[in-house]
Amino acid sequence: MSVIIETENLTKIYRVGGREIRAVDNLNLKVYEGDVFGYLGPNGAGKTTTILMLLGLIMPTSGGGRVCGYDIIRESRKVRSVVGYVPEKYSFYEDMTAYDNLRYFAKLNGIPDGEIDDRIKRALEIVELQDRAGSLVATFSRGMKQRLALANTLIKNPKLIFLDEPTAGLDPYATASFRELMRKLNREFKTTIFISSHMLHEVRQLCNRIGFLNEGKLIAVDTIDEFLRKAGVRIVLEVVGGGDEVIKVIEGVNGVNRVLKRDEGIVIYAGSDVRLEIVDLVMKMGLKILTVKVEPPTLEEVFFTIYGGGVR
Amino acid sequence: MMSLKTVMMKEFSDNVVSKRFIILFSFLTLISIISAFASRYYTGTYGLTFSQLITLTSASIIPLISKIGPLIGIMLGFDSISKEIEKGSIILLLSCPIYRDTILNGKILGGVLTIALAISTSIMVSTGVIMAVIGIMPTTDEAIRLIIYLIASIIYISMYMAISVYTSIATKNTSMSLLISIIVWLTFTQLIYNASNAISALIPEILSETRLKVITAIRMLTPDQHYNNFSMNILNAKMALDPFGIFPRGTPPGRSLTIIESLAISWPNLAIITSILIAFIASSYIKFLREEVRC
Repeated sequence: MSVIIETENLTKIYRVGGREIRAVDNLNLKVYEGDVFGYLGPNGAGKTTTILMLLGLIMPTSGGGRVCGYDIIRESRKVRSVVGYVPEKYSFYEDMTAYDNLRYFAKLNGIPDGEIDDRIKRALEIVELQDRAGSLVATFSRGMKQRLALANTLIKNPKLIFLDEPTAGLDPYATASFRELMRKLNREFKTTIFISSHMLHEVRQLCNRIGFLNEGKLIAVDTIDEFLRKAGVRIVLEVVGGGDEVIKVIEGVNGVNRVLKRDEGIVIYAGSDVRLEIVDLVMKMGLKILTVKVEPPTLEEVFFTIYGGGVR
Repeated sequence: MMSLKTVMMKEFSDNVVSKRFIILFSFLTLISIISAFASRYYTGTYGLTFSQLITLTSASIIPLISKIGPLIGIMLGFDSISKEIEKGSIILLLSCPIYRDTILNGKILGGVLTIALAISTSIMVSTGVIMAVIGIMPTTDEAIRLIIYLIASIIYISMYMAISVYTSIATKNTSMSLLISIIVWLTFTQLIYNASNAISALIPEILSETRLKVITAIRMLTPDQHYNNFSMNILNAKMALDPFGIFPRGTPPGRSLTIIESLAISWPNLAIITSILIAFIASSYIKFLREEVRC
């Protein structure tokens, strides 16, 4: 698989009121062609700044990178000619129709006049807005506008699409439909998709690889399966009685990272399956075990573990 | 080049169908017609020529364009960039493979085209009414002078547009940009004139040379005074105003000046207006190109 995004010590520093804010700090990232890459991080982590630098819309303070083989500083216009971008906050011209908006942006994307109509038609068909081509954008719902924004990227047959918080503000139906659209693009058109999001469940459902960003630093990058494997197991134990004493005993078991008391029982996070050791100890305490089950931790739990906030 | 034309034509078509342009444009055209009609009063009695009629009587288009023109310029520029930022369309524009200055160039050229349309229509309507109602036709010399005046008026109004484009970029806020642009306009058209009177009143001798020099020096700070001087000199072949004087007190040449002679006298006025235009366009470029995109 060839690399489609590559950064080397990409850094952006803002100076606000004499204070330095490292929005992106020595980012070294690789995204491969065909990936659906999830760029995860809390609000203000530097996700949007990264995308804007990759598109050549913000000048890095230091470092650099390449997108689709083009240098993001010296060849930013070439990057933007082969890459689509759906920003988090944007607006089309609401007093114009969907078709007229797409036609305007198609011309600005340098698409030859003779091809514009066909490309718009195809893009609107993919996002299922062909029946609304002649409607004013002002009459569109948020979900329809988001699909129109995707169509706006498709008119240039992009190799890669950046989506910044793509389902924020969408209702569940629109979210599901948009998610399906992104899958379709990746599957049928082999488009690489880069999703910036703070919504873990969304990333889990869509992405094959993810990167965690916090305070401008890339903390980890891997496939979701690998993340979950490294995160170990989650054991839920239902015991009759025992109180805090049993928790202290379980915490002493080798390989156990953290023990929490929850409504569902005692939740144990461990590097490997240590059920037998735990069951053995609890029974030695003379306590009765109702159930014991093992399951992989959720991505949310991995996320909070990585951010050092503990498992919530 | 195609991108520039695309942005320019969108801006032009947005401008000409906008309600505020239609209102101002209709108002300007209406006043042009009424003023041209009103000039009937002077004909016959004084036997004026076409150029005298449009510079010295109520049919004069100079005060008309110098009053309404800046408003058209401000109206075209004050939200040119801030509107795109506030609505969020700027990010879609910037994510296209175009240079950032293409957006600014397109917007400015679209505005200039709109100004050209409005002012040429106004001048044509005035001329048409004078020709139809009064029966005075401009000579070839007068027609050429009218074309030079049209170009100067486009530059003058574009100067106000450039000022408001700059405030639009600098404030990123449409209401603030409008407010600052109007304050600049009032400063040039009112404040400086009033200030020249107030300051000169401190000089005890009435009608003294010093007093006149003070008034002149202060009023020459306004581009409007330069526009008025240029317009009077170029439209009226019998006029030879000192480009840096404010009263038509220069000795009348006694003969009609050629176009070249009129231009030789008044080119500094147009050069000053053009310099202000260029300065604000350059400042807008610098500000807009350096601006960081924040979403």
